Amino acid sequence: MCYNEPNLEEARGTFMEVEIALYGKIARAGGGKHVAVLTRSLPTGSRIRDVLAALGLQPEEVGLIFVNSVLSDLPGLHIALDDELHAGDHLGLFAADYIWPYQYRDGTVVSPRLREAIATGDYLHHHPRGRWSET
Amino acid sequence: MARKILRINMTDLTATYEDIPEKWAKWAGRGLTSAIVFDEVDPTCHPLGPNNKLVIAPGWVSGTPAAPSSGRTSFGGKSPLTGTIKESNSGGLSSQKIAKLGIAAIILEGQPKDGKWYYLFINKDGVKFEDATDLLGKGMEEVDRIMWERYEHKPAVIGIGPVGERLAANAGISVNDPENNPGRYAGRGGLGAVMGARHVKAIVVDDKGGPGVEIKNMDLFKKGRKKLTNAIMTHDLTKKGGGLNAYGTDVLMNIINEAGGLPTRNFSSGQFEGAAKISGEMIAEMVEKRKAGMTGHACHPGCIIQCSNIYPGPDGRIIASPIEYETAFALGANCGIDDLDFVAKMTKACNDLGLDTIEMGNTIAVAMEGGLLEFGDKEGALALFDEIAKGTPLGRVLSNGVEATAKVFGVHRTPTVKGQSMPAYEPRAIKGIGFTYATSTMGADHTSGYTIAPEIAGVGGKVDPLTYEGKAELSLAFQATTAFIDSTGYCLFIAFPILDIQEGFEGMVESVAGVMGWDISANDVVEIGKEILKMERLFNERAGFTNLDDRLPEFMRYEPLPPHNVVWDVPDEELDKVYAWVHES
Repeated sequence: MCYNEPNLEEARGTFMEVEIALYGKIARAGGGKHVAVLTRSLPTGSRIRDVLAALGLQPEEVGLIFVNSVLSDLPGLHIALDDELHAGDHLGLFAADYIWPYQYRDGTVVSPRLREAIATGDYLHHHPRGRWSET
Repeated sequence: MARKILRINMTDLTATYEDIPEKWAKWAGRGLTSAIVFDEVDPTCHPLGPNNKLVIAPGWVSGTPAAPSSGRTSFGGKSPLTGTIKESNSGGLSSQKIAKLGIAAIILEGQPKDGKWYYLFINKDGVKFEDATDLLGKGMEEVDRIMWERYEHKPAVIGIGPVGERLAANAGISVNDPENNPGRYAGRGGLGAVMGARHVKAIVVDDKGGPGVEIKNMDLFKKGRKKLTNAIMTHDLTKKGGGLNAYGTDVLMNIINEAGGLPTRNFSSGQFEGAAKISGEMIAEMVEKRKAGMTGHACHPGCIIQCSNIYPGPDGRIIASPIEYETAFALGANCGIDDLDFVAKMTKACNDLGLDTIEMGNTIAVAMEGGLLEFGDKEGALALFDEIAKGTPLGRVLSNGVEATAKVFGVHRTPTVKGQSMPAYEPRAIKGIGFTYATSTMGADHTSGYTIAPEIAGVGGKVDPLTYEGKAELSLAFQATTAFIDSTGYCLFIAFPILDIQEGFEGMVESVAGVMGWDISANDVVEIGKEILKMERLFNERAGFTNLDDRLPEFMRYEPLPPHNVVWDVPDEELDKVYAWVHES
């Protein structure tokens, strides 16, 4: 586990601080082995995609995404990458191989974009690749 | 050889091998324990009195060659904790050994007239009743060790610790693991006290020379076994190096915490600032750093998921096995404790004394809220186990669980359903599981409603996860399928891959059909599971339970849970839909 001090050298007017938690294989991008929690100064208006780029992570390395405790993405969907972050946000990123079993997430708080996606897609499997054949 | 019922009567110290009556012939595991309890136990009896029974049953595929992850043993009876029927199942060595002796179920009944304590030794030659006087007061670590010294062939040891001897409502039943540690538990519901009420300290099972398990259709069994094994080994959660194998069940800690659904400080918050420190990722880090212990541990022979762990202390000496997510939540987050070493020490104490870790952690949390000690006081929490070990009045209160302790300490925030406290998923934040907590025949239980494919659940493949519409039907389908899987002897975690991989589900069913000589398909699973649920539900009704018991605790309706500040707002009528079918047609 690794905690990094916030970078206070950046000018506050055009930058914002965001807390980022990295879990699993992607923790290396934050200096940890399995978990890393760090605070980053990012240009105002940065999106999740920008955070991943700043950390040197590819989008496909990341699965479950939480923004301020709101489930915003599932493995394989990649629908939250353009969500904009705000000063003081907490971003929880899990490596792509994490799975949150359906019975333990059914009825949890989700982002508007994810709500839209799962209203028309398949939400009930544990993994988005999981799907029974049409028989 | 046809399977037999082994009836052990402790009143006259006799053991008889009976043919399975037709009405029980198709059942195994949970289906069989519930059928026997339904038929033979008066629902109005006192759980600790002479008329309750403890039923022990391996599953349909237990003891068959190389059925993957199939070492679960079901324990059933009337629960001293809930007053309902109870099935609690465990890994460890017992399931395969009982099955290989040709035993479908052990029925333990009666109470010794002379008040003496016994342990039982069961092998191919029958049952021996042995004097257990020298074992009384001993923890399960010592009992397991003594039995492996006393008997050859590394037998299974089913036993109760001092808490079970004292007939406490949170006494679990221990089963030794392949290393002869007492970490595998039929923990929930106080069945250790039901065993203690029979004055049986331990049951030792040696299967050497046993007849083995009859497989009626070997080709079908092998075909199913292969499909199921492939599904387990390719799914991201259960494959080698996957989430469960790498981090254990505690892989959920950070996910549930990020979601705001981690019950913290006696269910007063959904988030714990110290969650990462007690997570599965941290267990893995400690194992690597301390160069001792292990992740990816198998809790029973033949498990290919291997989600257990052995946790080392700072000096490299083993503290406990395993640290589960539920354990780390209950003894950690819910008590405000963020120190894995202390979670491990308390887990060791639970395993040795014979306590369910979920109920125990939640009990300490209630005592903290009641002012006995502060949230986060890890030394104080650990010291409570000395009170339990000594059997002081305080220790005896604590070993009777959340509701008993809440009454003694004047706490109204009791996170229980039907007397059993909730596992590690806050139903105000994760509402789907609230349906299952509220309506399960077992009380609040996170393992009674595992997801199945929508095609099998009969919900047409589309479910709006954000409304209550359809959730009752879904919960019933989940509960029914789980009752089926609990009867197979397979670990419930096979439910993860077989939801996502159709061949795996078919393989699970075919392997069962192969053993039993049945012609069933995946579409029969829900109906067979419902037969089990119906027996359990009717038992509970006859014990005095109604739909008004299918409710979450009152405080969840009016106390908003941070960080989402949500309450439990599911209408009661929606909950009543889950079991409405029991009295239809």
